[in-house]
Amino acid sequence: MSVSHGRGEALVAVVCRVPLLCEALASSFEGIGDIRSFPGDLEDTDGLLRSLQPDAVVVDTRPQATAAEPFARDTHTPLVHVLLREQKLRVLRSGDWEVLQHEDASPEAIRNVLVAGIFGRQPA
Amino acid sequence: MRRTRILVADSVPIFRAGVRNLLSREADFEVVDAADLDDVERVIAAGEPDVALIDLDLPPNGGITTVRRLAKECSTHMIVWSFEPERETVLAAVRAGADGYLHKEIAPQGLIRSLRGAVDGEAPLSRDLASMMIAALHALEKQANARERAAVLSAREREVLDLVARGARNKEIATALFISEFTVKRHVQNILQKLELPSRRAAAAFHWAAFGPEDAVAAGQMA
Repeated sequence: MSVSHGRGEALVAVVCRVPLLCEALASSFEGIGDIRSFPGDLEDTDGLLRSLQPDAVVVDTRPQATAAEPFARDTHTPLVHVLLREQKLRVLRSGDWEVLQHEDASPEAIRNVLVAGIFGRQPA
Repeated sequence: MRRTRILVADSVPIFRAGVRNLLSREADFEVVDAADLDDVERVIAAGEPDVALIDLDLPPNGGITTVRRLAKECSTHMIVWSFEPERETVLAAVRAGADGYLHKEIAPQGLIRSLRGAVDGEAPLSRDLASMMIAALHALEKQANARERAAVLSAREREVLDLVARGARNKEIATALFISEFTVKRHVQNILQKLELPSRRAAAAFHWAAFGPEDAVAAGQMA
């Protein structure tokens, strides 16, 4: 299913301060992709992402959003920042961050945004 | 085997889904969820949960109000959780009837341990929150002591102390209380003597320790 790397399923890297975010995404991604979670205080996020080459990246803090941005820009990989307090999603689209006004931060909304980004129907 | 019924009361879908997914892999748990107080009451009417995990910001009036309300109605073990809890919040939750308090950043295994512990009558509280609670209890004790000391002051001296704490000069205090500046000076001297304090600044600090900002606001309205 992986569109870019020949893997069986899309690989989503989730760098999260709130581990339950990974738990929530794991269920909504069942059958669609493989969720790989990393702690929110991870150092050298850029290096990790370049090694892992995920099909999409999800983060839940601003510092990690910033850290993941160069990889996402260089590889055109969808990057979603989940704003847990505001219950909003921020996505990197065409190099700019955009808060999705009509999407809440539900696992299904995150999944839909990622799927659209991964399969290229909507540039993320 | 009877499964432990867990209620996740949280308006944020990610947390409801996250806990549900996590506990679905554990054979001894059954999960129900609620997005607000109405939902909580519906769930409880259908069968009291063993443990309720309640978001501090649960709509409409917050988790502490919810805990206070549920504490009267049922015997469910209640745990409040939030991001970056503050000392006063943790203490307020426990005083309202919560059995514990958790960070929303909790690791999945930690959450499972805490929920199982709550069923066994333990009080789930991480080390930093336990320290916070102890500090809050000490602060309360300090406040109670300070209030006890302040009882030696007359009503007029209390009024003067309120204004001193707000940084008012003697002339301003005299105007606010319709008394002479000389009388204010005498009241301030008496306050310092009675409370065994060395200065106006120490008197102001004492006032904050004893009565906090709420009384100062009242004093401000009075002036």
